[in-house]
Amino acid sequence: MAWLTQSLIVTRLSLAGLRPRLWSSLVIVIGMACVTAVLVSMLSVTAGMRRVLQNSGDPGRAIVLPSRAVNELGADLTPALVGTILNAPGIARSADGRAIGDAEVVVNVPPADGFAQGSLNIRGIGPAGFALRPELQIIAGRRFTTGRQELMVGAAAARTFHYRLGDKIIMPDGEWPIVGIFSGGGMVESQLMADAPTLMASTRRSGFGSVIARLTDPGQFEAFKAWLTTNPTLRVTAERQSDYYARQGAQSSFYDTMAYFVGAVMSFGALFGAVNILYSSVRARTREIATLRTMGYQPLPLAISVVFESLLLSVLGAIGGILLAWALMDGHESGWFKWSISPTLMVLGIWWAVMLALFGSLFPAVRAARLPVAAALRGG
Amino acid sequence: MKYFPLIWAALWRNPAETLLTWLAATVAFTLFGLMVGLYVHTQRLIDLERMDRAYVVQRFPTQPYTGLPVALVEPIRRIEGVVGVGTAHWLDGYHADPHGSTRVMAVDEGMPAGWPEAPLTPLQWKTLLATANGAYATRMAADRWNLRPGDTFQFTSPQDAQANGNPTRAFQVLGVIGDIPYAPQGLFVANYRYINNSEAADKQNLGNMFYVAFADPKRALEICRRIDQRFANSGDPTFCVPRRTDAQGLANSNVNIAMLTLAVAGAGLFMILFLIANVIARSVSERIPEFAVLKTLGFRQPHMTLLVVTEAAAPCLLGALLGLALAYLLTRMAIRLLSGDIARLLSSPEFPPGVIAGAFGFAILLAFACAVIPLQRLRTLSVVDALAGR
Repeated sequence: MAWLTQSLIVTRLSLAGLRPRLWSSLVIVIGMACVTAVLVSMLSVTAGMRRVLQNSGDPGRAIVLPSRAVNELGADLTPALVGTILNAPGIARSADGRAIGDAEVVVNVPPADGFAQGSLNIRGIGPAGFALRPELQIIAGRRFTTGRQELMVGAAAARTFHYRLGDKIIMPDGEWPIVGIFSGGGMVESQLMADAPTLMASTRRSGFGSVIARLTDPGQFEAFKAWLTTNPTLRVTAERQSDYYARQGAQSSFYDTMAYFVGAVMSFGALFGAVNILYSSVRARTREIATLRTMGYQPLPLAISVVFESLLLSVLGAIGGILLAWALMDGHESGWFKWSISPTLMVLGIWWAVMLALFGSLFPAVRAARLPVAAALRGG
Repeated sequence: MKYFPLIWAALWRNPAETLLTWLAATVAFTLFGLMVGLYVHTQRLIDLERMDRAYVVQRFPTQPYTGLPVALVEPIRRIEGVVGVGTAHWLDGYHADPHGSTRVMAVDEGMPAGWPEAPLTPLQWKTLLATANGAYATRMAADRWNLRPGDTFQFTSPQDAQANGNPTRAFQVLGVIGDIPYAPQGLFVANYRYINNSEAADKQNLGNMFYVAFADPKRALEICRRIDQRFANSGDPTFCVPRRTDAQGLANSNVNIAMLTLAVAGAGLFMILFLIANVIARSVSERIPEFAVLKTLGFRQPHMTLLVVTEAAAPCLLGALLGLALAYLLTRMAIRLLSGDIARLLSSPEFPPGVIAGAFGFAILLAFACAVIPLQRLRTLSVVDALAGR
């Protein structure tokens, strides 16, 4: 255990000597802060996307799509098919015995000036649409009235496209007013919402894009799916809603790739900087290290002190970087999602810095441990 | 040049430190090159799209998307301010390998006026429109399948089969044209009449979109509104958007790429600013007696400034040079050696002279910023105290 005691003593000495080396030590802190701030900020883009997608899907809800459809924009589910789908086993039923399932339609509408085509959708929901989504809350105005040409706007869509209560959206048969603003529902919050039959009549659609059903129990999903996919009158696929939205989130992988690539490149820069500073730190402590060796201290505690110094400065930098990223980027709105710096990302940022610190301190630590004592005492 | 030995000696006073500083600067400028290159690429794609050109599509897209009747072309052409309208019908499919997707853009006789910047000469337009099954391959598409003029190109489009059920159409390659920026995988420009005649009756005489040219870019939004108003109460309401507006919206649809790339490039430079400043400050601090001797020999503050700034500029400029070269090499390697998102990320950056000049400009600025504090110290240096080792 002598090496442990020696390590503690040498590390304390090393940290006490940080003050004269304050500015050079700050280089490591700032370098790590830059790396973690950039890495965590960029990863918070996909974390924000995933958070919305996770909130969108409920494993207790299932989504049924026409077999060749990849999203809800299709219109291939006729009312007759919807009736068959809602007879599937495993669907929860309300007190009056009706299936808690809803046939829905999603229609693309032109966004306001300055936004790309395809960035705004109206979701037409049926009578069970609200019962299916208890998480939806009206935060201003009211719900649309069934059968009337009225719209509700999700809070995220309202922020993105600058919609307010009373604004009107041009539809094929005239202008529809926004009568309410709702929050919750994940992706749905970035859409407009209307009565499905009224929307279908307006856009001349005869079929629905999806059927969403609440299951009596998430464990019922397999039976529900098997019934639907083996029914010869249906050509549909069924997914847990959570899986469906996870699949929709696959596009976010590009931002993850970009974040890790940029983080890796910056890490090399920080690494070279850290090695440089740690080498000069060892050089500045040459006499101190040589004296300790003469007093009988082993090389390992000396190496440990270099590694610990690197770890401490790097973790300090990482914490600074994470706090900076959190202050500047957490909650930053980008269309349908907000950048999100989760505790997981914070841990990742610190872990990244620890790895860099260990790697960066390796060679300076070896150098400290192998310092020739006689030459060092002579001032070498 | 007479100070070169002094600067050289200062740089190689501690070779390991110099090398690590250069490497850090190289990494920072590699990142700078890639990020600014990506920014330039995105901006160029936006700038290539003009305000006096617009797309007209279905206002409420049908599923599957059918497009607009070509009967709308004439009424759009008659709207004041419109100088050309062309029909584009896109087919998605593949050649030989179902995993190697490509696209065919079928165009009609209005397209030379609706899309005057298309990479086709007037003669090529004439040849295309006179050859039913003719198609021009972009350079990328021609290279991808080793196509030459006169070759036959089999294109299979399962989603858009012919009226007889056959999903494969044969095109005669008429020639090779320049690449089109928004079709990075390459495409074929074909004759709309040939495609239209092969379609089922319910799919005939439809265009996925119209390419519209305006006389005055300043009136683009106004003319777009007039086009949309003209068809607002028809059975086929339109959505007209100037191409630049659309490109800007698309570029910023999820994340503001401009902000992101520039912020990352800035963070990289900020990171090495402290490293190099620290190295120079320490170097000057350790050589105070040496500077005192130089002052005694008659070196004045401008000479000192030259020495210190050059010492700081060396890793910055060399880092900029090596970093940009490395960034360029990475973008060349990406398409051949990498795949997926990383290839997409790395194959996009561009390095026009502005990016190179910008990198060297920032390298010089960085050198001056790093030299500020050491120079301040040298300015107030007491020669007597320094020579006495105080």
